[in-house]
Amino acid sequence: MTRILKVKPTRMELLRLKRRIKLAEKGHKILKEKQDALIMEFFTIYDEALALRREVNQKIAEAFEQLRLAEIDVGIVKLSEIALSVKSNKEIKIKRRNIMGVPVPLIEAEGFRRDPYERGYAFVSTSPKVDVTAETFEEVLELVTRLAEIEETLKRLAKEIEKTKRRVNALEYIIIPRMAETVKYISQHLDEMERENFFRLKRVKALLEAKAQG
Amino acid sequence: MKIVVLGDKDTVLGFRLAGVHETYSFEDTTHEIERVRNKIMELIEREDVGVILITERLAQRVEIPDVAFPIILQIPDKYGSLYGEEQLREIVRRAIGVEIKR
Repeated sequence: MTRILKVKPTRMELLRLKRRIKLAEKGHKILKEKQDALIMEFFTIYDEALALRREVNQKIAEAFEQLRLAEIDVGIVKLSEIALSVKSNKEIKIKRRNIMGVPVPLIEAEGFRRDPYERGYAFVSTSPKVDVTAETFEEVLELVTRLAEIEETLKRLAKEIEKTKRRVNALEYIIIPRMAETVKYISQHLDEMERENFFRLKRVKALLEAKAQG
Repeated sequence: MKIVVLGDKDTVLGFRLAGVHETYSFEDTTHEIERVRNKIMELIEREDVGVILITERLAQRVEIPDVAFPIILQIPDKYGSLYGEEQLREIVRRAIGVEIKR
């Protein structure tokens, strides 16, 4: 798996590679720390998301139960008419927030819950069941916007963790070993050259001596 | 920004009562599913949509594009949730590599 880099086996390259290894190791350490911090953050949000998901599912079940009761009370056609006359609720604001350098959304939404007279339908033609249904759904809406924020945050953190993990692994298992292997190769090569040179000198010296004597 | 709900008739009715800005109801037929797809694409293009709520049953039929904005959230419909917490667990499994039971 580990193959050596294509560099000339010179002293210059050796020094450069050694410096690069040091840099890569520093980067690896920092990334690893980032990954650990991200995972800690991730789990805090995961717990929150899990709890909220449960709450939302429960609330929606409750809301549909109320809706059914309202349908029984005033009839489906009538209820659709009422729904059409409901005024739009408040708009939301989406801002950005940073968690460990990951941009995550921050939804500002408050006060979806309204008083019955703010909803905009006539009371004469409806029943209290409709009010209760509308109120439950407003609560659902509030929970759901919070869940949207948290789940999106969770997804983005997960993506970032994946990305960081890939980088950490690449550094740890491929880039650093490959450079270390190259360093080994170069230093062996340099040593070999030195021995060769030494031997050559010896040879020349012996030849010269032989010549001087003979 | 607006919240948009895509879902079956009852889901839409309920959220309309809560005063959601835009709601679109769809049947579960091939033709309608095509319309859902187009609608999602259109909503993503638009600037004033902040959150898209889509029922899990509809989301299952169309693949949800992976976009950063708007936020697309799947919600259960009147028959209850299809996945429960499974989708959240899946995210953890992908990110951490192991599943953590709590």
